[in-house]
Amino acid sequence: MSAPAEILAESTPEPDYLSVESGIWSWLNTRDHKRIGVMFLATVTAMFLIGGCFALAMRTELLTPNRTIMDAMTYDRMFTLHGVTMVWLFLVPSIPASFGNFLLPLQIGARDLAFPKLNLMSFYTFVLGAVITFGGMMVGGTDTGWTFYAPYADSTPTDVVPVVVGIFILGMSSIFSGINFIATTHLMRARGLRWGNMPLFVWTIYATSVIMVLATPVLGMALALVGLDHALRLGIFDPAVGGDPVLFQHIFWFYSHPAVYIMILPGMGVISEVVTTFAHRRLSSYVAVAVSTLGIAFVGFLTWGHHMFVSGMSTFDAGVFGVMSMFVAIFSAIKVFTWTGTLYRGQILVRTPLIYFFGFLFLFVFGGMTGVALATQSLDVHWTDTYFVVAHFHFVMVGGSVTAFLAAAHLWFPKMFGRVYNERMGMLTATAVFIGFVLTFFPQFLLGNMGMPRRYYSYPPRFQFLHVLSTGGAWLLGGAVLLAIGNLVVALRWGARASANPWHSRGFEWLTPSPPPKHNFPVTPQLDFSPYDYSMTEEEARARAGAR
Amino acid sequence: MHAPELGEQFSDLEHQAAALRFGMWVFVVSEILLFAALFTLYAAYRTMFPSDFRAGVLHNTFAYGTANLFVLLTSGLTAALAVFGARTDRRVFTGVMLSTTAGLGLAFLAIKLTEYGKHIEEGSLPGPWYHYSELPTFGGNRFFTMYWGMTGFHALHLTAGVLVMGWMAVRAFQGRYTARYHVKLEMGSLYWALIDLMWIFLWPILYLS
Amino acid sequence: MMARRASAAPYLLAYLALLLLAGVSLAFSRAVHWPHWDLVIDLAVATMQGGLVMWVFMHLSETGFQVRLAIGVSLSLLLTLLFLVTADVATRQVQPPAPRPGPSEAFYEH
Repeated sequence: MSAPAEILAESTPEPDYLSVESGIWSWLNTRDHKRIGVMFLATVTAMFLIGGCFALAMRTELLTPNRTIMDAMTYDRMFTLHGVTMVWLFLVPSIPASFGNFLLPLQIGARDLAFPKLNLMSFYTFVLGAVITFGGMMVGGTDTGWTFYAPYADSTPTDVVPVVVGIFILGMSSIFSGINFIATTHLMRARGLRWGNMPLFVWTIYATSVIMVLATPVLGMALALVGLDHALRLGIFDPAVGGDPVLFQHIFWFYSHPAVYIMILPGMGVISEVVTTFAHRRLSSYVAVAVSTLGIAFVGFLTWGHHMFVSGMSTFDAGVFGVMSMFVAIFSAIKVFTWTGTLYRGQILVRTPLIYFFGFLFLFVFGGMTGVALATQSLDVHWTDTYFVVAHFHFVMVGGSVTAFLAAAHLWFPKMFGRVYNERMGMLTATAVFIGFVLTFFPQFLLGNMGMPRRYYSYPPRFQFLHVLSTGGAWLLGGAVLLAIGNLVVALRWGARASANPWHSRGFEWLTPSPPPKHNFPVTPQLDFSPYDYSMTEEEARARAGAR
Repeated sequence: MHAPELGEQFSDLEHQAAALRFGMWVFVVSEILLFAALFTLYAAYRTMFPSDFRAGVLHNTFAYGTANLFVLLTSGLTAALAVFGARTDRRVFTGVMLSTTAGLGLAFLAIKLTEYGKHIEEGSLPGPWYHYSELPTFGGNRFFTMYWGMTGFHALHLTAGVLVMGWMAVRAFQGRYTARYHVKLEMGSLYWALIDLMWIFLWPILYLS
Repeated sequence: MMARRASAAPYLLAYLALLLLAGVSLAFSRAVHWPHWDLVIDLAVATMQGGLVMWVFMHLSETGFQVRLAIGVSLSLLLTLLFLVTADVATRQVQPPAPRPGPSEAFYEH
C-alpha cells in the first residue's frame, strides 16, 4: 500500500457527501446517515426556534400582573405549545437524531448505520408525527401542558387525541433510531475498535438509545390510553368510574423521567468531546465518564416517582424514589469533576464550543444541585409546581442540553459542512446566551421560592420586578440564540473553507476529510487506539488508522 | 433462485444477517416494555379490587382462552419449524409451516371474536358501555376494561403477525429463503413467538386465577 | 456462525413440554385450587413456558451474550415498573373509591 496518511486525508478521489449528488430528490430519498443527520438537524433547529417563539410570547404576557397581550386561555395553550414543541419535537430528538446520526458511524469507522432505510423511515416518521402533533395543537387548542395529566386530559373540551397520536408516532421514530444506533454500535465498529476505546459521544448515544428503546413504548402506551380515555370516556385513569389518575403519572414518568437523560446524556457526550478537543489532552478518567454514563442511564429508570411526591403516592414509594434520585447526582458529579480535571494542564484553545462548555458546567451544576434539593421530599412539598421547579429543569434542559446542542453545532460545523464560522461572533453569542439564560431563569428560582406557582396567568404585583427581569433575559437569550444560529447559517454559504481537522482533534471522525466522502472513509480504518491520545501527532494517528 | 441483497455498509451476508437478527431482538425487547405498561395497570387495579378481579377471571369462559392458548402454542411450533425448514433448505415445508402459522392465527382471531360476541351480549364491555349485571362494581368495570385493552392490543399485534406470516409464506414458496440466507424469516418468526409469549402470560391472569 | 440444528426434535419436545406445563397450570387452578397460591403458581408456570419459547422457538440458545443481556435488562425494568407501581397502590393510605360491597362477593362465592 502507498502512504496511508494520504489514503485517508489529502488525496480523496471521492467527492464529499454534500456534492456527490444534487437536487432535492437526492436529499429526500437519501440513505446516507450524514444527509439524514443534516435533515434532522434542520428540522429540530426549526422546532427549537418555533418553541422559542412561544416562550417569548409567554414571557411577554408575564410582563404585567394581568393581561398584557393575550387572554388566559391563549396563555394556557401557549405553554402547552411551548412544552410539547420543546420536549417532544426538539429536546428528545435534538442531539441523537442529528449529530448522533451524523457522527456515530464516523466515530466508529463504519460506512453507514446498520439500517439506512430504517434511518430514513425514522426521519419521515418524525416529520409525520411532528405535523400531526403540531397541527393538532394549533387546530384543537390543546391546553393540558406537555404532560397530559389525567383526569384533566380525559375531560378537557380541547382536542387531545391528535396530539397524543402525533407523539405516539414521534415515539416510533425514536425507537427506530434507537434500534439502529444500538445495532450499529454493537455490530458495525471498525476493526480493532474495542468498547474501551470507543469515543465518549458514542457511549452516550448508545446509552441514550437503550433508554429510547426501553422507555418509549411505555410512554406510547400511557398516551394511547389517555387518548382512548379522552375519545371514548373509557375512564382508565378517571376516578369517577374507579380509575386511578396516579397510575397515569407512574407510567408517564417511567418514560418521561428517563427521557430527561435522553435529553442530557448526548449533551454530556458532546461536552466530553469538546473538553478533550480544546484541552488537547486525554480525559483525566475515560472509564469514570463511560461508566457514569451507563450508571445514569440505569439509575434514571428508578427515579420516576420524584415527580409525584405530592400526588398521593404512598410514603414507601416516595422514600424509595427520593433516595434513588440522589444517586443520579453522584454519577453527574463524577462527570463534572472529570471534565474539570481534564482542563488542568491541558493546552487550552479558547474557541466558541469551549465557551459553551464553561456555560454548561456552571448551569448544569447549578441545575443539578437544585435537583438534589428537589429530591428531598420535605423541600419538594414546598416547591412543587412553583417556578422553582421550572427554573430547575430549565437550568438542566436549556443550560445543559441546549448549550451542549449549540456547542456541538459549533464543534462539528467544519466537519459537517467544510466551512468555518465567524469565531468572534460565535464567542460573543455564546457569552450572550449564557448571560441571557441566567437572567431569565435565576429570578425564577427566587419567584418559586416566594410561592409563584407555574402555569399561572396572573400574579400579585409584588412579583412583577422579578418577572420583568426574567422577561428581559428571555429576549436577550432569544436574540443571542438567533444570532448564534444565524452566524452558522451565514457560514454555510460565505464561511471560509475549513481544513480537514481545524481543531487538531484526535477524534476518529476527524481522520476523514471534512466534509466526509459518501462512504465516510476511503479505506476501512483500523481503530485500535484511543481517540483521546494526544501523545500521537495527527499524522501518526492517520497512519495508524490507515495501516492495514 | 433470488440472490439476497447485500447492503453496502456490510462486509458480507453473515454480517448483515447478524445485524438484522440483533436489531429484531432489540425491537422484541422494546415490545416487551410496551406490554409492560398494560401488565402494570392490571397488577395495580387488581391490587385495588382483588375480589372483583377474581370474580371477573372466574366468569371468563376459560374454554375459549385455553383453546386459544393451544392454538397459539401450536402456531409457535410451526413458526419455529419454518425456520428449521429454511435452514435445511426445504422450500415447500417452510411454506406450509408459514401458511399453517397464518391459518392458526386466523383461527385464534375467530375464537377471540366469538368470545367478544359473548361479552357484548352480556354487557361486559369496557368503560362507559359496561353494564354487566352480575358484577355492577367499579372493580368489575376495571377488570373488563383491562381485559378488552389487553386482548384487543394483543389481537392487533396478532393481526399484523398474520399478514407478515402470509406474506412470508408466499416468499417461501417462491424459494426466497435459502439455508444460506433467511434472516427475514427468522425475524418474522421472532415476532410471532412474541405474540405467543404475550398470550402465555395473558392466559393465566385473564382466564385461570 | 453458531451451529445449526439439524433435527426438529428439540422443537417438538419443547412443544410437548409447553402443553404439559399448561396442563399443570390448569390442574392447579381448577382441580387443586389453593386460593392464594393459584396466581403465583400459574405465573411461575407461565414464566417457565415463556423461557422455553424464548430458548427453543426464538433460538435464544444460539444467540450471543448481548441479546441475553438485552432481554435481562428489559425484564428487570418490567419488574421494576410492576413492583414499584403495585407497591405504591398496596401501601397507599388514600385510595380511590373502594368497590361497593355486594354482588361481587356473592358472585365469587358461588
